[in-house]
Amino acid sequence: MSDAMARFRPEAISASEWRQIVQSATETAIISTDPTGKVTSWSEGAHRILGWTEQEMLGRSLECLFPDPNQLSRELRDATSTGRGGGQEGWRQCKSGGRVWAAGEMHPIRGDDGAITGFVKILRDRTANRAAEETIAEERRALEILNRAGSALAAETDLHRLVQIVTDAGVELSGAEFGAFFYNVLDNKGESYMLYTLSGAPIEAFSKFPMPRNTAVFAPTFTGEGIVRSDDITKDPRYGKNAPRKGMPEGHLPVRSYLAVPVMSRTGEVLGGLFFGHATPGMFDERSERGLEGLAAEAAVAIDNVRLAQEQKRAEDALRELNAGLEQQVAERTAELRANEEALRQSQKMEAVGQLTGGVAHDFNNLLQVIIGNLDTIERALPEESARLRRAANQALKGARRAASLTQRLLAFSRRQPLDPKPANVNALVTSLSELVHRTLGETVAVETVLAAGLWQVEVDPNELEAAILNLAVNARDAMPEGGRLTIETANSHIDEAYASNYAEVTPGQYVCISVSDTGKGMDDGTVARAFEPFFTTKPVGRGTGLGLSQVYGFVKQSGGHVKIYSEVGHGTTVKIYLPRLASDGLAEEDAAADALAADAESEETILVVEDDDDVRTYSVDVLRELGYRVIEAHDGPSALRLLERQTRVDLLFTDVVLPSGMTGAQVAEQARALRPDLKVLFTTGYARNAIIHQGRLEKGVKLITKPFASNDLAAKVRDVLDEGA
Amino acid sequence: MTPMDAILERALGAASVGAQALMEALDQLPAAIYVTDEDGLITYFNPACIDFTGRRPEVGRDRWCVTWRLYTNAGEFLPHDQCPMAVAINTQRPIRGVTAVAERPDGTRVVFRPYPTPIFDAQGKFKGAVNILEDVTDEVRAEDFRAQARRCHRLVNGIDDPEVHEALNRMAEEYEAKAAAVEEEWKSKARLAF
Ligand SMILES: Nc1ncnc2c1ncn2[C@@H]1O[C@H](COP(=O)(O)OP(=O)(O)O)[C@@H](O)[C@H]1O
Ligand SMILES: [Mg+2]
Repeated sequence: MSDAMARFRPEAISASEWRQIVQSATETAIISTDPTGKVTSWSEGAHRILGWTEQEMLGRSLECLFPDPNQLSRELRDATSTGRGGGQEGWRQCKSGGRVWAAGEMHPIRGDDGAITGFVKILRDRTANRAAEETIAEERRALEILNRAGSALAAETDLHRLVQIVTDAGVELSGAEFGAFFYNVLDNKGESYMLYTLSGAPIEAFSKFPMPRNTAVFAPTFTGEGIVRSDDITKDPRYGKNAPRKGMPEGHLPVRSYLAVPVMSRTGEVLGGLFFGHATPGMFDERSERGLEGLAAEAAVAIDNVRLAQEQKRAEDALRELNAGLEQQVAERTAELRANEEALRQSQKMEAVGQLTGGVAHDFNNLLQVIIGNLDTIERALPEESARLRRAANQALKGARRAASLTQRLLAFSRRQPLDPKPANVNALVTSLSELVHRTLGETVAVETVLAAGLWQVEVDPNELEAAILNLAVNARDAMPEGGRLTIETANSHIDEAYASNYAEVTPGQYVCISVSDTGKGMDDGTVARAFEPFFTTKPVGRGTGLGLSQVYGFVKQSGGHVKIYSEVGHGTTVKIYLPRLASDGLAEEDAAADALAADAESEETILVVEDDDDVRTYSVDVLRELGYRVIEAHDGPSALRLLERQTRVDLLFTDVVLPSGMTGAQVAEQARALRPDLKVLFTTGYARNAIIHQGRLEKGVKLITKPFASNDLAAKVRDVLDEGA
Repeated sequence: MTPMDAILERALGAASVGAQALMEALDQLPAAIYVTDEDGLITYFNPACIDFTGRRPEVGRDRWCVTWRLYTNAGEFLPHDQCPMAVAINTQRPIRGVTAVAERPDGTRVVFRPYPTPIFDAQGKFKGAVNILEDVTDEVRAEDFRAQARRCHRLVNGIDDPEVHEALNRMAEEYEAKAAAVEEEWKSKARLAF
C-alpha cells in the first residue's frame, strides 16, 4: 500500500493521458480558456452538453454560453480574486438555440510562477434534475392545496360555502383564470335546483353564459361520462353548436383552455360539475387533470356528507314535530283551514274589484280614444304661429295619454289587456333585462341574477313580463332607500296538489318561477294582504300609484300563472311569479324561418275601415288617408262585406272587434277572407274579453291595436301588418 | 337598382358567358362574390371572399359556400349543405331577404345577407349559381340598438315612477345615438365601397 502511494506521482501522467481522462467525463463539460476567456480546450462532455465541437469553439470567447453578457467577465474576475467564479445554477445557451440548466464554476490555472495562465470552466447539466425538482414542488403544492381543501371541507356543513372552497381550490390547483362549480341541490320540498359558485370572475360575467347542461360541450360532464379537457375549446367540434346569436355576447369570459370534471356521489349520481377556463390555449395538462380528479372526489364525499346530515336533520325534525302532540296539529289544521278561507275570500274580492274596474276602464278607454284622436288632429291642424294653443293641446294630449296608460293598467289588473304571448326563454329575458334594471335603479342597488340551468320554456307576452319585473324592481328600490341588493332568480318548479289547494285558481303542475328579492324594509301581514289591490299604496302622494303590483297580478293571472309575496318586516321581500311551462317547446323557429322572402310593396294600397263609433271611425280614416292610403269605410259587418264584393283592390281590413248588426269583427274577417284569401286583417279594441281574444290571449296570427291609439301608432301597425309575409 | 343588384347583374353576365374580361372585372369588386357549378362546387371566387371569410376558398373542393362556418341568426350551427346557396341550387330559384352569420377561423363573426342566384344558359339549361355576400353586421347592430331604444320607450309606459322614466328616456336616447352612429359609419363605408 505504502509502496503504491510512493509510486503515485501525478506529474508522471502525460498530457495525452490527462486529455483522455478529461474526455472520459462525458457528463461534465470541462473547458479551458486563456486569461481573456477564449477557449483553449473543449472536452467531449462540453460537446455533448452544449453542442459545439472543440473545433468550432477553439479561440472563441466563452461569452456565447451566457444569456447575461456580463456573466463571463464576472466569473473571470471572481476566479482571479477569490480562486472561484460562478457556482450558481442557471440557464446556459446551446448551439441548437436551446438552453440547459447547469451548475458550474470557474477556476484559475496558474503557471509555475503562480501567474494566471488561463481558466478552467467545469459545468454539469442539471436540466433533468431541475425538471424533476419542479415536478416534485408542483406535486407538493397540489397536495397541499388538496389537503387544505380536504380539511376545510370536512369541517364545512354549509353546502354553499363548501362548494365555494372546492371552486377556489380548483382554480388554485389548475392555474385557471376562472372556475365554476355547477351543482344540483335539493330544497326542503325535495325539489332539485341547479346553482353555481364562481371563482376568479364576477357573477355578472358569468350570468351571461348560456346555462350549461344540454349542450354538446357540457353534456359529458353532467352525464358523468368523464373529464373533458381541451387545449382550445373554440376549436372543439362540439363547440359553437349552441353558441348564442352573432357570436359571444358582449362581456363573455374568454375561454380557450377548458377543463371540466364531473363530481359523482358514491351512488354514481352526478352531483355537479367543476369547470375551469383560461383565456390562453394549452394551459391545462394531465397534472391539472389528475389534481382536479382528486379534488372532485373530495368534493363528492363532502357533499354526500352534508346531504346526509341534512336528511338526518329533516328526519329528526319531522319526528320532533310528530311528538309535539295531536293537540297542536289540530290547532294547525284549523288555522290552515281559516287561512284557506281567507285566501279564497281575498281572491273573490280581487275578482270582484277586477270586474268592476274592468268595466269602468273599458268605457273610459273608448272616451279616451275619442279625446286623444281629436286632440291629436287639433294639434296637427294648428298653425305654427299659435304656439300657445299648440302648447295647450299638447298638454291636454299628455294628460289624456297618462289617463290612457292608467286605464291600460286597470285593464291589466282586470285581466283584460290584450296579450301577445310567444314561446320565451326567461333566462335570456332576465339576462338582457338585468343591465337595464341596474341602470334604472342606480348605483345604490346591486343587481344580481341567479339563473337555473335547463330552464323550461314558457309562453308569455315578453313585453309585459319585462314591465312586471321592472315594476317589482322599482318596488324593491323604494323599499331600500339606503341601498341594498336586488336578486332576480329563475327556477323550474312544481306546484303540487297540496300547495295549489291553498289558492283559488292555481292548478298543480310544472311552472317556471321568477323570484325578485330585495333586502329592504319588508311588509307587515296587513300590507301583504292588500298589496295586489289596485290603488293600494303606502307611499306618499306623488310617489306611489298603487298600480304596480296590481298590474303584475293581473298579467300573471291572465297568463295562467300564479304570484305570491313572501316578506318579513325589517328583512326584505320576495315576489315569486310562476308561469306555466310551455308543453311543446320549439315552435318559435318556424315563424322565424317563414319571414324569408321580401317583395316590394306597390302604391295605391287600399284599406277598408269598419267601426261603428262615428268619431273613432272618422279619426282613423283621416289618419290613414293622410298617410297616403286609399280608404273605404263601413259602420258594420254586412255593409263592409258588400263593399268588399264591389272593390277591385283591398289590401287590409281594419275592423273593430265589437260591431253592431249581429256580426263580430272576427266573423267579418272570416267572411272577408273567404272572398279574398290574401286579405290582411288588423283588429282594434279597447277591451279584450271577447271572441278574438281567446281566454284572454290573442289567437295565433291575430294582429291587434288597442284603443286609444295615436296616429303614429296606427301608421306603424298598419305598415307592419301590410308588410308581413309580403 | 341597388348596388347589390348591379353587382349581381355583372356577376351573372360574367358567369353565364364565362368571359375572361368580365371575370377580371369581378376580381376588382369590393363585395365577396363566388360562382359554383350545378353541383354547388366552387368554380370561381373573387379576392374579396378571402377577407370576408378569413380563409382562402378552394376551387373545385369547397361546396355550396366559401365561408368557414355558418350559423343562423338564432346562433344555431348551419351546415353548408343547408345554406341559402344550397337551397338556391337545389331548387334552382334565387333566395332573397335572408341573413346568416359567418364565422372566420379566428373566431370573428360577420352577419351577412347572401344573394344566391341560379344561372341558366341561353337554352334555359341550369348551369350553376352565383352568390354575393353583403356584410350587414352594422345594419344589424344598428337595428339591435333601435330595438333597445324601443324597449326603453315601451317600459316607460308600463311604469309610473318619474326617476325611472327619466333613466329609461335617457337610455333610449343613448341607444338611438349609438344606432345613428353605427348607421353613419356603415353608410360612409358603403359610400367608399361603391
Ligand atoms: N318590495 C317591497 N318591499 C316592501 N313593500 C312593498 C314592496 N313591494 C310592494 N310593497 C308594498 O306594496 C304597496 C303596493 O305596491 P304597488 O302596487 O307597486 O304600488 P306603489 O309602488 O305605487 O305603492 C307599496 O306601496 C308597498 O307598501
Ligand atoms: Mg310600485
